[in-house]
Amino acid sequence: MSGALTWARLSFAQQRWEILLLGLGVAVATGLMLWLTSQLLGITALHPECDFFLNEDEFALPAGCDVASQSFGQAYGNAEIFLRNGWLFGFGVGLVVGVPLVARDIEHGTAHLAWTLGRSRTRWLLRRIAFGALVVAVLLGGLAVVTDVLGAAMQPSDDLSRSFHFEGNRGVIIVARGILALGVGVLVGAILGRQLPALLLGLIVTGLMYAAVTFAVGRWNESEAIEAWYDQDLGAPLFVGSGVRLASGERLSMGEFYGDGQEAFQSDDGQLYATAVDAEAERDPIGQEYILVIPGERYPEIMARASLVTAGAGVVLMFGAAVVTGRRRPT
Amino acid sequence: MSAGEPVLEARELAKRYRRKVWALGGIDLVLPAGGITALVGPNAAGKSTLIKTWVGFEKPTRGSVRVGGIDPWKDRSAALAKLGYVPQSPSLYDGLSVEDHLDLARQLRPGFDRDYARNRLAQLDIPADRGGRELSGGQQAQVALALALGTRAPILLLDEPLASLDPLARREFLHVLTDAVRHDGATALLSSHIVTDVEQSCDRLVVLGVGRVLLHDTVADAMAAHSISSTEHPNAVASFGAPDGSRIWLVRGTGDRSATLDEVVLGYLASGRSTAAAA
Repeated sequence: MSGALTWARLSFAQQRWEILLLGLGVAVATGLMLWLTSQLLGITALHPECDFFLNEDEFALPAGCDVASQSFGQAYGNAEIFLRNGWLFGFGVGLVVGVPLVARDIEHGTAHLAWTLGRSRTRWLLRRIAFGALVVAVLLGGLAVVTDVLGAAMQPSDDLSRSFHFEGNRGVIIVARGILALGVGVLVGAILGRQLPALLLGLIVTGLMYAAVTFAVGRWNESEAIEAWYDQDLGAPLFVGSGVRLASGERLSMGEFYGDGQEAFQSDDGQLYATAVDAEAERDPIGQEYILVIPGERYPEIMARASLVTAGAGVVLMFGAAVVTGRRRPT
Repeated sequence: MSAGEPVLEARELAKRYRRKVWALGGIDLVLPAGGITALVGPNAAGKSTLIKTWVGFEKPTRGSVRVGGIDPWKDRSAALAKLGYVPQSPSLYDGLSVEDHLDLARQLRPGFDRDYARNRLAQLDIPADRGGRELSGGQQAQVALALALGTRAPILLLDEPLASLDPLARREFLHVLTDAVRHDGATALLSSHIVTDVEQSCDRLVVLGVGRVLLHDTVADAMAAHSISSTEHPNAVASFGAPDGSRIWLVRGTGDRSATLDEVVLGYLASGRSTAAAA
């Protein structure tokens, strides 16, 4: 145990400035999110009679709710900025912690020392990565919890543990993105051996990797999505696609159905008719539009899976970094 | 390792960089256990490359190397266990103190003798709480040497650690190295292009030039076997310019006067250069 603590102390000393700066940034963001959370909760508690999500143009708000609604809307807007841009923290923390893990030793010449004092570069790197992953987990773990709390305050009537509201912008996926970026940072840093170029290239590679992971997870989700229509009560589901099921049972995408100039008249339940008269009479439907969704109740499972795939991609990259580090020169 | 047993071996070792530049051109060298061997040669002679192949930083293009009988490219871990290494510019970690470096070494190397290294540094009055980068060049080199000595490895490879040191720091460094090697019975290979510095400390001499071994002998035998002639000589190794501008010949055998180690090295470097030019 004392060996691990000594390693952590020495690792921290080697990266103290970036860790402190990142910690400060995360602390400020976390503090602001908690402040916004308290604002939203305060307004909600003071005005339990108000439904802040009603459209003022269509519904008459109870007396006193208009001012409260404005305040809530303002706080909601600010909170949304944080949630929508929270992904930056995941990638930023992962890259800034990951890039120097190997690249700095190569750039500063200390790899000569570390790689000859230690008998195994792989073991050295894994211990470096373990510390980096710990930093990422601590910094982003707190942020992940706070984004969930903020999301819950923004949607007081929803159970966000069973809802895809703000999906991808809150919770453990933020930590997973940090692990992915950490893996990219270590690998690119090990290949280039220079910190600044590795950071810049790492930004691009992280973007590409995340796009690939998102695509893969999206395909996976699509394969498990169920057909539904907008009016169905599915909590806050994850929307993964839409299409048209013809009366014959054949499924077409929206593009395939409407692409050749096909016109259709739609009823409230998504049934499609060839003419307005048929639609009015709900007679001889030619098909039905549908949406592909994953019900909100599957949120924990789907997000855990997405997080595992994202972090797993990062871990694969870390193994790649170990291979590169084992073979490359220390300069 | 018993005295005389080969500890560092290079067999037909050749190393080519970027497909064109040959840093080493087929080296056969076997260094026995014990004592300090000076690896001398001009810049770009291949000294660092040779040492780095033993450390496992450079892969031979041809041939093989062994450290204590182990090929570092087949079993790096076992080879490194026998090695202590001082790099060309002893870069220490920015955010770590001297004491932290000792802690780090203990973390990285099982059996690292922290007390031994600490005592060595204390004898030199190097403050343990000072940041690595706050030390003078000489002190940084001493810390790097202490880290290598603390491994208690039987073989020490020192890659031009004296290059950036002032004369006093060089003298101190060599004193510590000599003392440690004699005391521990280790084998050290010290590369340098400053011959006068190694004359007092080294037992053996390897002259490396244009990627080849030009001379490998004990310092005593090398000096005894050579002399200087002021005229052309049938046993001349090569001729080169004396400090006064005249031409002198390094002779294998008896000449006009005895040769200094500097002159022996210069003679062999000149012979290597003329051979390369002829080729």
